[in-house]
Amino acid sequence: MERQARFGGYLWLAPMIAFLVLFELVPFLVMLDQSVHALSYTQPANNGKFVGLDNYRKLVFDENFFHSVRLTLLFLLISLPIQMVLALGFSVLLAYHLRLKRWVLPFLLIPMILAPIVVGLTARLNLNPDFGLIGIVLRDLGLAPVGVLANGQSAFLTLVAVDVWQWTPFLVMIFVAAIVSMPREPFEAAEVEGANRWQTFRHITFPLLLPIIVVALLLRLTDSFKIFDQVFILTGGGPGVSTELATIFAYKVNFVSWNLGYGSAVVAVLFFISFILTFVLLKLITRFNRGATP
Amino acid sequence: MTGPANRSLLDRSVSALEVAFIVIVTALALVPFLWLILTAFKERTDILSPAPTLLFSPTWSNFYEAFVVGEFDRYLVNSITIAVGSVVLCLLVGLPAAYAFSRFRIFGEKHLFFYILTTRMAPGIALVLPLYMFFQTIGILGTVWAVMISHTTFNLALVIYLMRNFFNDIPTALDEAALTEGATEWQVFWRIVLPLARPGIAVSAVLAFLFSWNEFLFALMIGGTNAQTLPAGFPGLVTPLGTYWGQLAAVSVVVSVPVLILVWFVQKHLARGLTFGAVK
Repeated sequence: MERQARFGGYLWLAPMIAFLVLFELVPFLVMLDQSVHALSYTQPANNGKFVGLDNYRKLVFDENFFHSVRLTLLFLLISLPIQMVLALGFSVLLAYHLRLKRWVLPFLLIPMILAPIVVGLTARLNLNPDFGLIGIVLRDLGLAPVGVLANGQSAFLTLVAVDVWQWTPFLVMIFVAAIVSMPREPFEAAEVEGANRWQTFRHITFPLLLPIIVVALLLRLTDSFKIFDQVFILTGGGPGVSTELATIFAYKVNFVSWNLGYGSAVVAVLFFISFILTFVLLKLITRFNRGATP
Repeated sequence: MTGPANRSLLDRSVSALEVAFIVIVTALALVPFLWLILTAFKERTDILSPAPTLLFSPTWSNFYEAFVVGEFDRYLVNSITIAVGSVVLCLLVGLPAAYAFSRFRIFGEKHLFFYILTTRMAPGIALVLPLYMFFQTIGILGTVWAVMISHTTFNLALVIYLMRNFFNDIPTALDEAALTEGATEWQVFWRIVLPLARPGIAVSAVLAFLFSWNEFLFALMIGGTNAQTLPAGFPGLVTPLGTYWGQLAAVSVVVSVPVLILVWFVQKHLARGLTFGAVK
């Protein structure tokens, strides 16, 4: 039972609220204010001038911005289904050999817990066509004679592969945990009825797992939307703008072109997108936590 | 004809194949990282060799170059200071808040919670840019304090979510008994709930430490040259003149070792920590 506290408990929340206001709300408002002013370190002529919604108008017509958003969407649309399917298959298989779990899982989790920058570097090293383990193989097979990162399309697919490598284990971890904690009765009944593995998966495991799958998908969605470090060290958005995801675009506008007024508008829009994603995520998590979650 | 004996033999071989498959996939997933670790101990000529081999004479020279000749010893100190400082700040601010969320009826609780979560979900750049401009204005840009605070923005959400979860697991009957005995709320929190929540606090602290330790963009932009951390030092080794693979790999090893050790201790709680309690 929750109880009543003096000042409605806000005394306990005061440090947190002070922190949030001082280091999140105020800076965010400063940035919003910046987004309606001109501010550029490279073209400082109009700095400080109020420009209304000009920066946002510019954004609407910026082909590079839309390219980066499209690329992010494409990235999510390819990467997430692949890791979902791989993780589902692997988790179900691992659940049939549960005694392996405590030996396999700790190692499987390694790519996920490494610093993202280390993940990116690992990929970059291994994919080098001259001395990288995977790069040499791809080169000798004739798939990527000058390396996968030299070509826009293959560089993009490389980012997908890295994301799959890094995050499939995360999904395996939560799916296995969910499968293990499922009620045994339906499975025993299925065995008695002589159901094969596919039937068991389709009619029992999958439906029971669905709430977790939705939550996991949304967590991965918000997380993959944030991807930055790996791309930064692997491709830096290149070649050209072929791997310039939304976060990389926002970084470049602000910290490479030093166009901070326009950059503030870009970041405000990205924040708004992630705000909506978070809202949906939280709604679903609270809904599934009410009973459906194992 | 397949008798029962034959079928069980078939079953057993399928089962063995599946076990082999699981083990091989896991091993293959680790190969790229193992290659990076080996690279850390190779001379430049061995690294750039077009015929990769496991037979090379290991050397510490990359570590020496990065941490003794180079500046990564300083970055290491920054990394530790910032991660520890951020954890302390997170716990000071987050524990009372999590306790209140767990125990008290709070007006607007859902909205506050949602607001906290957005800071965790927003892309790094959406937090870095505002803080960059703000820290520049108040003049602490490029200090360890600034990076510490910036890491607390995303870690605070994690600590509050996790700790509320752990506090919820501690029965309120204990609080109520103490309260009827005349204890104050503060005494209940400090003497009863916190000691019982010690494992939870350890898990939260470890996870928050790791997220700060692994973080790149905040440290790069807000730390500048003075408060650079190990991850933020990576781009400095990718120069127009060439990539210092050996040093990069050596720094990667130093970054990864504490991560691997600490995660070993909290692996049971990892699912909970990374899904905001949606998965137990």
